[in-house]
Amino acid sequence: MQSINAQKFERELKKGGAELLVLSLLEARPRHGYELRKLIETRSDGALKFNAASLYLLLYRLEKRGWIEGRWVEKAGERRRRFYKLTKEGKKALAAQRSIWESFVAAINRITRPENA
Amino acid sequence: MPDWNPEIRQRLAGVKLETAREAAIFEELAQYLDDHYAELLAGAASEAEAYRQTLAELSGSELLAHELRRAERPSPQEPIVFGTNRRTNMIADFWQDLRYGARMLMKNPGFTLIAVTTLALGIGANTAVFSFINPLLFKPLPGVTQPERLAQVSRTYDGHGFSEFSYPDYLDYRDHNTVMFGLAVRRGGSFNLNDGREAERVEGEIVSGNFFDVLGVKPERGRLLTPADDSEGGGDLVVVISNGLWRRRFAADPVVVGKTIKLNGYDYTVVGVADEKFEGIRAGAKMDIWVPITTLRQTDLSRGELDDRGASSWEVFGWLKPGVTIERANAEFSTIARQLEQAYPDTNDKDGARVDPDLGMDPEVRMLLRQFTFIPFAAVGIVLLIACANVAGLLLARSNARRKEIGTRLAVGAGRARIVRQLLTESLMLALLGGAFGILIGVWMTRGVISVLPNDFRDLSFKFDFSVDWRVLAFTLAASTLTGALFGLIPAMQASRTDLVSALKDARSAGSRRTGLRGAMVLTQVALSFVLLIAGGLLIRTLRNARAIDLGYQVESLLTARIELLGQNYNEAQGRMFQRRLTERLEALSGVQSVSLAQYLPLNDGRSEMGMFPERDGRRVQTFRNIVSQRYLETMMIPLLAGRQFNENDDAQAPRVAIISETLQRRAWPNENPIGKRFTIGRPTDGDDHLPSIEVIGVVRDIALRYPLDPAGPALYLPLLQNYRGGIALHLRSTINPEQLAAAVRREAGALDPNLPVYRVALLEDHFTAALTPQRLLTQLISGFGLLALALAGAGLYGSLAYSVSQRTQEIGLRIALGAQGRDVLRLVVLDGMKLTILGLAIGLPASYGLTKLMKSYLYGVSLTDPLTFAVISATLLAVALAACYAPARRATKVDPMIALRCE
Repeated sequence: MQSINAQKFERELKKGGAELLVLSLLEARPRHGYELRKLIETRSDGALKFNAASLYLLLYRLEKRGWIEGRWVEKAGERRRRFYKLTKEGKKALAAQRSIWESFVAAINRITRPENA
Repeated sequence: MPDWNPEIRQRLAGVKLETAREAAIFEELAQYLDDHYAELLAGAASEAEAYRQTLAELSGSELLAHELRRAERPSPQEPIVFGTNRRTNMIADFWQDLRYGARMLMKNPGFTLIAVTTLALGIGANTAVFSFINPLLFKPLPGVTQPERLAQVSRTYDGHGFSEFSYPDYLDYRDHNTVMFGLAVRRGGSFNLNDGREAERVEGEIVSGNFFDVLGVKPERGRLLTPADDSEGGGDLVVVISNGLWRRRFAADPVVVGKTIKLNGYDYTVVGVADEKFEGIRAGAKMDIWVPITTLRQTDLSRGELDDRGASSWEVFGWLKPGVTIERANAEFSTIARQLEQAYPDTNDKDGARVDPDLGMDPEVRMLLRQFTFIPFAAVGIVLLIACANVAGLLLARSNARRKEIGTRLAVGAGRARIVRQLLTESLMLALLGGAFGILIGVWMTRGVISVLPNDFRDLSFKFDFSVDWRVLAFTLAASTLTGALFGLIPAMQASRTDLVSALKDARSAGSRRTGLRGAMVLTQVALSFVLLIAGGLLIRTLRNARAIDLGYQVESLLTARIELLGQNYNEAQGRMFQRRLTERLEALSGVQSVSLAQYLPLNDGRSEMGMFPERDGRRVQTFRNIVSQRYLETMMIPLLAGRQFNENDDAQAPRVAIISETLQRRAWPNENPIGKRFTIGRPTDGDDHLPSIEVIGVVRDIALRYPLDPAGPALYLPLLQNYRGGIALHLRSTINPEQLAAAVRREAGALDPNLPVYRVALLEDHFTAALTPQRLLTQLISGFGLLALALAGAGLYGSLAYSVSQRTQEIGLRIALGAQGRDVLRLVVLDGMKLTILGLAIGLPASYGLTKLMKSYLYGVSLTDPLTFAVISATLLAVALAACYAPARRATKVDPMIALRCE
């Protein structure tokens, strides 16, 4: 199990959480920005929301980092959209982030569980 | 659908993006907002409500703007490269440089061919020298574990030298040092091997029981020697044989272990076969057998040697404990040496100890070899520098031709660094191509070097592996890369400084700076080749002087051979009888003038130095000692200066006598008549009367002992009749041809004892030739490289002048148009070239002194400033330069003024 210090805790919570969401959603197949936003919203039953500014901030950052790759795709009768797909590095990063996240959640659970349970 | 672009633009204002990138981001965001807006409308929101909510999607855009500003900031001055407008990275740039470079090199095959050939010669010479010394100095001892932890211990006398230790000394060092895990000892020995078939003379080592343990050698069969084999009064005589002997003599018989073989007449049990790779600890000298030291106690090899602190014949080495430095080991061994000196002043006076890293070569030989190889390395380094200057000159000339191309690239925005990198890549490609061919040339040159070695050295070359290994390849690669940087950098820097306007206008105002640099390249080549030629010239003179050297004896028509009686169960009386009868039989051969026996051959055999103590004096005088038969002086033709020679009456019953050399006389009895003086070998102490007193009966001329060019050292001769030795060298002076005589010697020896190997049959002249090998090798290498340097420098001068004539066509045309005669033009160009040459000579003169000083110890009978050498070399260089100037100068006189003036 990986140990988590306080700083990492906060950082992961704020940023890594969001990154993890996006990377996880791109794992199955490439998606475009708005699709991501909708998926996050519906799958969290509206608990998690991104607006365009924060979502694209994240997407451009991940793209710059080489974890995802955007590509314009044109479909007949539709405007072209930019689809993002997970790169090889992105897959590695996702695996790492997932394990950090799970450690983190497990740690939280152990602490927040009622003591007499 | 509302137009979101103005909203987006406003929020991302201040982010300066590339147009295409900006459009893409705008499109993407607008697309997103469209989707959201449409969805909100579908969800029954009012248009206003949907618009407001959609715009809210852009709240917090400052962060996005900031991120884009940071991440997508365009680099300050992006290099513009042909055929692409995308962002490039280092690797793509490099790949492009490579392709572009390859195109440029293929576009000018003439230039490429000349440059690559020049570089291949320069690099190849370096590869050759390196691959020659590689097995001698760098390849580790085969078959040994962790050779880097092994260290050699040598005895020093008065702080100098690398001598062996006595066995009692070794035991003291072994038991009192704390810096080595194991301290082992060895001594070479020759054995007559007899197993019922034909007798064979094999080389072996007499070693301590921990020998294999310290080296970490593994057995192929059976076991190796252990300390138990070495215990005093040990059991049976045992031997470990080499893999080579096992295969050669025993046909790799798997049951050889346990067999009995006869060595020097004694029965030994074979206990094991050593690992295939292991051939002893002297690189190049293959050993066939190893026997433990106790052998000496059980056979007559010993003669009390193991108990005699004065008998120094043991080489000592050990395995350094982890973390122990050579310095610390040295300090500790020196301390022990001082303690021994105090405890045993008679034998250990002035004796010290030194520890050197690496095994595999006599440390003295290694030191000499290092000094020796420095000279050829300096020489090939110079050749390479000349090649570099040569190619740099070519590149400078070519960069002029490429000014327009480079100017264009600068004009469309390529940075200077980018241009330099491109040009350097081209240089590197040239250098690596040169290196690849250099390896071929190197292999070929190494073969050449080996073929000029004398025979006995060439035999060694079979044992040394001169083949190309990773070290040679790595060396060549490093040399090539360095070369590429060296010759490429200045022209590249220079070319990138191209003045745009004049370059694009194709003006011929080639910078005078560039011409100056080209001149400097020529000058460097002349100066450097002068240095090499001087060194070669001095060596040629040395070799000439050395051939005529007076050694103090005549090497011509003297055949030598060795016979070892010790291994054949001869006792002293039988041995003396054999030696006398063999001498008589050989003297009886027609054409043989005289025959004598001696323990050592000059110029060949190991040294035997010892201390002698003039009586009523107490000083110790160190001297070379040889034990010789009656007619030795006559056979060798060493002149007797005073007193008499040995005769048959100086036998074991007669008073002990000796003959000394001039130098020994000066050291032992300066300004006295030495005849009748007495001395002892070993220091006389009170009540110690068993040291025989020896009387000096004659004085002879000094002779060259080990190296022909060394100043003669002190020598002491003792009669064989009073000092029996079973192993002796035969000396025969005759008028018979050597092959016939050698056959006769074998026949006569065989008639007396058919089992006796007669070995190392050679003319003393061959030993003399072999002793001059370093000089001859250096002479051939340096003068060969000197000629190569001369050729390169000549070509460089020619190229530079030819180029400058082509650049000055207009000027020369003008001069001719204004009435200059062919003669004047000729003089103009030749003077240009000769100025450079003479300046080069002026610089080479003091520089040559630097190199020749390094090889002073290899020079003989010629001063470092030998006027004849300097005159001949200068004249040669001037003549070559003149020849190189002539063709371009002739071409200049042919310039047609009309065409020249019109060509702009």
